[in-house]
Amino acid sequence: MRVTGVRMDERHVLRMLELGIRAGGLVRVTQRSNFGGRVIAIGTGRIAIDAATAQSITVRPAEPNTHGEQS
Amino acid sequence: MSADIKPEESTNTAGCAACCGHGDGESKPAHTGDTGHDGHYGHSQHGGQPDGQHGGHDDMMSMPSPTARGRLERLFDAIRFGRTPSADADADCHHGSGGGHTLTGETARRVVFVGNPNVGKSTLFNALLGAGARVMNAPGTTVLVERGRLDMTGKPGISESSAGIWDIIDTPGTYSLLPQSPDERVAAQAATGIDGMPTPDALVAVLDATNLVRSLYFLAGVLELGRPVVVALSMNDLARRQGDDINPQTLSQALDGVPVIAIDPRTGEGTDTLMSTVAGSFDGTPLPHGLQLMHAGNDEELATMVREGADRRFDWAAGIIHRLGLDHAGRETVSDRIDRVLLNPWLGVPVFLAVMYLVFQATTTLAGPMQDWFDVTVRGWLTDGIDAVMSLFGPDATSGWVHGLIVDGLLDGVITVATFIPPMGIMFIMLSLLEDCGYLARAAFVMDRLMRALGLDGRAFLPIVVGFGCNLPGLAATRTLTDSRQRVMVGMLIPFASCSARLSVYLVLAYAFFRSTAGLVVFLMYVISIVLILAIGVLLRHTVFRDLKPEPFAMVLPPYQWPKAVALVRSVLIRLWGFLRGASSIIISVIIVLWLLASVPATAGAGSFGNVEDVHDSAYGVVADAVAPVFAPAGFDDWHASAALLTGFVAKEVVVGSMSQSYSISGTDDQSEQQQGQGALGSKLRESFDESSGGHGRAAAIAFLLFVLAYTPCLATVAELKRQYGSRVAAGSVALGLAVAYVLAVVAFQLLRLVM
Repeated sequence: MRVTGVRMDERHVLRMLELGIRAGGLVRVTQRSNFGGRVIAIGTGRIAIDAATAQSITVRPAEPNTHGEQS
Repeated sequence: MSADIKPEESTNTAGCAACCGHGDGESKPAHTGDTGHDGHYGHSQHGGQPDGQHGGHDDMMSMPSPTARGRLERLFDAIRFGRTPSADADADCHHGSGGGHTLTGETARRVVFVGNPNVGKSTLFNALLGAGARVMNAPGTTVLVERGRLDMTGKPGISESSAGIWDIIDTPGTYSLLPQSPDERVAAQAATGIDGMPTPDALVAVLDATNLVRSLYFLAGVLELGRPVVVALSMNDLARRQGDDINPQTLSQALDGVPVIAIDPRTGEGTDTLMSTVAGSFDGTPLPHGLQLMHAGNDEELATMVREGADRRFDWAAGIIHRLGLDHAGRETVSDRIDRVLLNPWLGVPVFLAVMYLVFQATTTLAGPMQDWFDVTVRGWLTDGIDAVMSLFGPDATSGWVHGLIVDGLLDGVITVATFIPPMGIMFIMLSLLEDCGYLARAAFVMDRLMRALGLDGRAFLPIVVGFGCNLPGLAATRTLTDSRQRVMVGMLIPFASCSARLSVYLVLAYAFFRSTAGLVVFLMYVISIVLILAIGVLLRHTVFRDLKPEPFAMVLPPYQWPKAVALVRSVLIRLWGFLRGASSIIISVIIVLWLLASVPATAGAGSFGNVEDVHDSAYGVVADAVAPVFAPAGFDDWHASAALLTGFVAKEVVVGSMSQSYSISGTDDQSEQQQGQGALGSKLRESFDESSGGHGRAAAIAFLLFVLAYTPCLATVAELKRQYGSRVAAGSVALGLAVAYVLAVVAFQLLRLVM
């Protein structure tokens, strides 16, 4: 899926960017956890986020011609 | 475009003091070697770090005459390193600045290692320096930085002009040069040379091959600082397994010529090439197009630089990745499959609890027999040996005070310290295993929500759980917490976890006063312990630690890996050694002091020095009598009780034994606590407590139990607190413990005497 936005304080947006999460990036949810947390995949990296953070990241399905499409 | 970057000569002596923490008049303790922090983006540190020197060399620089402590440290250092480091410490300090001079008159270069957490940076650092790495505090903080000196003269591939002694610094792992925690700030300062830190002559950026987006973004920021940069590409074996391996040459080309060396921190492969490449880079490395040279003279300029260029740098990183053909959403990995089970919404917490239980059991059950071995067998051997030696000096020697001093003082101290080795060793092993294999990060994620209520990271759970077995390894386990402030807060909570040594005291008193409901009483003590931890946690959160802001939780999960046995054992041994050096001097000296007190006869006819018959008649008894009245409002102002509490300050394990001794009850060493409680000791206790409380013996007993629960666990924990967090925190913890214990005891007695 493609990230369309990160709705957080500016400081946290920067943090997300530094971890690889930014509008325009490709991500994939690999795991759901208790209390609403998520594990998302960015390339070969995995990032665990809590429910509140997960909700602040908006996504839409990625375009079909990106390779390595979601499972 | 290639920027010509020349190393600067910096003769900033304030920077000199700043970088190595010397010469500012204040002796700072070193902590466990831990350099992988990144604020709230919790990330376990990978690989072993040496638990280098304790505060000893700080003492040498800042005081004209070293304290006894400093001397002991230097003795240990001499044994450990085979030399006294005093001369080196001097040299170290003045090399801090980039243009200093060495003992041999050659120019020293300053090389700083930076990188994300968990990329093997510290492992690489230690592979380069071995035992020569020193851990020290960045000035004014509790953040650890490792440094070492490498003599590069004559090494392969090093030219004459860059040979000499290099000053190598490892920094805490960070995701950004815009710091959000004290740890990251130190990394940023070391990399940029602002705020008094000397400017680096070269930077080694350790990058994670399995996370190129993040790595390249980080690299962009580092490159824009304008210093020579060499890329050390790590985690290549993992990348290869995932089918994403990168050819260093290709990457270097994509970076317009920035040198890229593939390394394996665990085997040390590639390190020679890395160092010779660094040697060749002091005159400058290229700046890839798309990046701009930035000047950051202070914190604000750096912050602006990072913020304003963030998107541009990210675009640049994405561009490189696209050119290398590595952009894709990734495929499922083995780690993902494992996480499917371990992070399952329903299985996650139970699995975590099972792991916790295992760790807890290991540190108590496995450690138990080993501790007994030290306490009984080894003590027996050594006592016999000492007796044999002393009897050579004549028949009276073994009953004289010298014998007492050696056996009951010095030997007792040594054995006490030794009995801590099993639980600490097992704890370190389990912790390293969990960390290195990658599970610890998952554990933190699972427990995060619960710990958030206390304003803590999910990883605070493990140290507290371990603390219920023994506080000491629990305190040691706090090093996995990323935020320094959080570490201190958890460190202050752990002493309230009721450890197994306290249990021995609970049992004796429970069986003495509450025969049939003894089990219930003990269970209640544990419940109160948990309640205390939560309550004090909330209290601390709202007072001293108000600035621990809740942050969004986003944590990188490292792929699961097999821990490497050799690195694991090495790191455990080094950490153990660090703990021993810290705790032993305090414990041994205090035990000797206590022995002295008990050996000095206070009244006529009590006996001679070293041969006092009734403990009450010694100086120790005098002290106990003096302290006793304090406990009148709590109902146990009896000298036996205060004597027990005084001993308990040193270690809870000896409280029962010393209580027996104070009542002159002997021969009960083999009895269980239950038997003792129901026997002679129990009846004596009932007598004393009934008298001191005016008939409300049971209420006083509960008050006493609560005091034992809450006050300072033992001297070893104080030593560990001081070692990890400094004297101020250690003193604060002791004060907090005593205050809470006293309040609890008094309130409990005053309330319970109305009903019992």
